Amino acid sequence: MIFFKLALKSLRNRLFTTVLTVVSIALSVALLLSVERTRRVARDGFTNAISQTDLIVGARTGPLNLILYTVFNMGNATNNISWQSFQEIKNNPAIDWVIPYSLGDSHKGFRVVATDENFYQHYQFRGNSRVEFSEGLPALNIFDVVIGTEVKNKLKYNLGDQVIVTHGVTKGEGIQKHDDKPFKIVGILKPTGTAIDQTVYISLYGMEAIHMDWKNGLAPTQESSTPVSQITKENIRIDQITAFFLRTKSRIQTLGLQRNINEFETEPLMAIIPGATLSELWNGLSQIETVLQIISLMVLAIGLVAMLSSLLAGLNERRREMSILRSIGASPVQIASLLVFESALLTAIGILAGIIFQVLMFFVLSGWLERTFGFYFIGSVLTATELFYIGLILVSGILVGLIPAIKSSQTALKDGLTIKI
Amino acid sequence: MSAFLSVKNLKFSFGHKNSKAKNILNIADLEILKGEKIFLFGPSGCGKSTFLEIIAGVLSCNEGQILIAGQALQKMNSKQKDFFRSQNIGYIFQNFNLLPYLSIFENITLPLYLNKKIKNIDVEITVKNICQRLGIFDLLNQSVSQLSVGQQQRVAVARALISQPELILADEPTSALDFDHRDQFLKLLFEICTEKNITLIFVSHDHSLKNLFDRSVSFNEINKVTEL
Repeated sequence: MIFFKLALKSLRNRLFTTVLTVVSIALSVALLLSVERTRRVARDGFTNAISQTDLIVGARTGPLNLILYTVFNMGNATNNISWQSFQEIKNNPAIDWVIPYSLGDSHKGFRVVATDENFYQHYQFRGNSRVEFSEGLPALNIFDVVIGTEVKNKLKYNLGDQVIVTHGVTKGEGIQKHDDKPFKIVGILKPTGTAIDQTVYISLYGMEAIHMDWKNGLAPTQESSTPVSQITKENIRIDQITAFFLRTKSRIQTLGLQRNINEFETEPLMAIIPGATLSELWNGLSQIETVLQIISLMVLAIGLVAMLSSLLAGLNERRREMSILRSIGASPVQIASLLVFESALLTAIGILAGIIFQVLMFFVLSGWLERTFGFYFIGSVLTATELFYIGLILVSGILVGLIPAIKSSQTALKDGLTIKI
Repeated sequence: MSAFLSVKNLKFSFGHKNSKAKNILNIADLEILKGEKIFLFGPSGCGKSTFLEIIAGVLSCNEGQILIAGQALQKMNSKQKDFFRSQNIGYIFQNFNLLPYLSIFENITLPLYLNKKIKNIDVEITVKNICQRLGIFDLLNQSVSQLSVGQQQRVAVARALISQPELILADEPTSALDFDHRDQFLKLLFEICTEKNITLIFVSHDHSLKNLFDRSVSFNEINKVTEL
């Protein structure tokens, strides 16, 4: 108990250096955790975004582009698929289900995806997680809209609220709004940690309805706009979609189907296997992962050295105290426990502060990171790897206290009392 | 009257026992009586401080016997030595005697917390008695940095006395003091040692002090280091 008091008083006496030591440990820990978390999020974000889909089909473009605009809400489609071609492929007996996607509009910076009931039934990610509702129902009627959890949180929407879709994909408010045809929120999705959270879903009918009065790329005037009351599913003709996901009845048929689609004669189409493309994407990114891993290790090494040197410098100043304590009967073990307690305390506080700092930082920055880089910070803050690093830091912090302790137990009293220059 | 402290054939060298490090201590025989105030003088670097640290049990000798108050120091393990030191020995250094982050009161009572004698002692009264005797009672609430060197040395003596030791080891405690303070300090130290029948071993390089002591011993005469 007396040693606890001694250590605290001694630390308070050296408040400035104590705080500096804690801050340096905290910053190292925060930096390490941030790099590790970024690495993890980058990996998970790509590998878990879509599953159980055998092929993604779109207009002919690069495979990466196709997977980016369909799965990750990044980039844009270069062309569309005609409704006839879609129907033709869809009727292939080898196909189990298809999910059509029609893209191109947005709502306050969030992308609008037009799809049908198949999306809610079949779309899967992270193994076999499905799209689930926290409230409401799928958007199946013309002016129904379903929003992802991020959309709800950012825009503070509730069931029944009105949503006006903006023409084109814009960040924030667009120029051309489909304000003649407002939508109503009928459903809110549970968090998925994928791009779904940041997406607004409408029906394919809805997508056609808001564009039906457009002529040659010009928005309808008030006169030429068809009143909402006169629009029914029957008088909407769906012309085209942007892309679709498909599942075969048997995996063996995937490659044959892919070849058929790629050689489709009526229009140039492309089918990609999401797993293969994701791993291709990942191969490009794995270098980033390796770099991040190297950075983590360097941060760990530098953090440890900085921590050890500042702890050691603090402890070295205290040879005199150790000599005094020895002279009045403190045993080397007692002195060692004093020093170890002190460095362990500083390290523990530093680690704790670092974790808190990191969590706060991500809390503040996550919105920006999601919007800008598509990083979704879902999952635990600390994983086994990070706990291992933290354990390593803590153990080194404790061990470093032993160095001066052993030194002071071996040297004579007068060594500690001599001023060394 | 048998000796309170006796040293026989003490040999000590820094470094490993089997290495050919030069012996820095080789004392054939030294006996000190109970209550005796002995002055050990010798030039700097002759091993005086090391000798005190061996007596205090901080360092272990390589060979020889050390008997203090009937107990053989060389037979104790380091834990026993630490306990023995906290029970029986008060140590005073040249300077830097006090912990700057503790109050004067806490500095003085620190040994009690270490050797757990605190249960048997009324701390307040003991500290009061000792500090009044040393003339530092008014200083108890001040911080270490507010004290002069002379006052700090008296606080150090108070700390050395708090656990009621039988032996005080003083390692040049006066060398940081000026002439007047030095004499005052020594006089006070002698008086207290006499009152409490404490044995005092005082080492210094300053020959001018030797007339004040019961006995003075030249360290170089008792320390027969054989040059290799």
